[in-house]
Amino acid sequence: MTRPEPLSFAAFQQMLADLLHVDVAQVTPEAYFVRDLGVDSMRLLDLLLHLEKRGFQVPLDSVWRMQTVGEAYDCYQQQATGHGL
Amino acid sequence: MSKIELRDFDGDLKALPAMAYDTLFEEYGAATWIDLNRPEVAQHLLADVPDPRFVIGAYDGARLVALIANLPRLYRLNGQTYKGVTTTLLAAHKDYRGAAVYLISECLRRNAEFGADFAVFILDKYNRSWHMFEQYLKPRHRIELVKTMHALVHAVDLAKVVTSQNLKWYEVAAIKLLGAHRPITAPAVPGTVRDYTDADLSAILTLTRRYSDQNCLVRVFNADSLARRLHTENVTATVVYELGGAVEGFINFTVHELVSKRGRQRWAWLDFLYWEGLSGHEKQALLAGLWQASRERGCIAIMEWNKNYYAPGALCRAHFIPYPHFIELNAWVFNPHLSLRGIDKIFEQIT
Repeated sequence: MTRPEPLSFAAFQQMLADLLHVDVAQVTPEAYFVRDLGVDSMRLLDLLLHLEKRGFQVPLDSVWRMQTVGEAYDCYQQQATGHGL
Repeated sequence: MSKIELRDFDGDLKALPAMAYDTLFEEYGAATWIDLNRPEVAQHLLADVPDPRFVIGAYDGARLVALIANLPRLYRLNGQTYKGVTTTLLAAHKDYRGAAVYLISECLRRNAEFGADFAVFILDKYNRSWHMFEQYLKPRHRIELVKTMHALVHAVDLAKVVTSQNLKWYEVAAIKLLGAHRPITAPAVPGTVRDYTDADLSAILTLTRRYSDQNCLVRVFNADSLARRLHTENVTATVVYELGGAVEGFINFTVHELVSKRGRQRWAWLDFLYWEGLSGHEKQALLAGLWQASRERGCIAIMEWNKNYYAPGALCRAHFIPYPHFIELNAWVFNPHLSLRGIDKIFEQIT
């Protein structure tokens, strides 16, 4: 299975800001996707699709564990380094 | 700030409209939506739930921001009994729409814990969920189209249907031409049509069980769930055909409120019926009873989704006409040895 390419938090942050069309300053580790970044169900699924294309696999029954940007980054890095999900 | 927490629904039905209505009005625009969040309807649906884990709320602190219900049911299919759930009531507050994905995610986990063979659910093309399933979930999960269902309708109060559905002049003309607005009257029959009483329960339970094992997905009722189904004040009602002291047929319906920016109107949705062995006149008499019972409850029209488990000829003869709308019954199938794809006959209510 292909692993995602490791990213610095700044790069991950920028990627999310681009995908979600929000200001990068809003994409803090503590920011909640749904409540703070206004991510609705379609955008959340689009985000998962994009991450999947980068090799980041998120089983649907685990999605709710990644509610904040920081949680998503931690999961991403764990997979990138071979310790994730 | 706290996380959105997924937990068992606390049972506060009054919180449902506040959570869902703004979203529904926004998503449906000029179209009409069925109000499953009306507290009486939600209470009726959730009455079958034996375990709080089957209804999941997403909470921001103490505030309900999204909800999904899994109604556990037994089904018969091809001579086997299966554990199924009907997934319904999925809604989210407009500022928390992404929470719907969290709920679906948690639903999957809990359905696996329950050992469900499948979850059935309705998708309506006007709803945002339809796009979510089509674009993302269907290509990645074992989600099967069970049946596309088209509607047959008969207007009880045509003037109100015209307003409610914003009908064009030519649609009204077609309804009048086809007689789909005329009162359904009862011909002379040997038996009587009357409202259901508790004493009819066991006879109707016996009739419903005759549908089992007829190459059809059949909901298996127990006496308690069927009793609620047949009569819940302000939500469901049933008319029966009695001959020689025995119940020979029945029609059951739900009073749903359909909502749009043009207002809120009651419609009778035909759910379960049994009329095998009745003559054409006896079926017509039952339909006349349905028409009368619908009118008494303030319904402006009667609607049937083509579940196809019974011969619909009597509906056509009573001037039910096709309505240009469809919904899809889908199944998320967990049992690897089972498929529900393309089942044509469904003995189940549509919510």
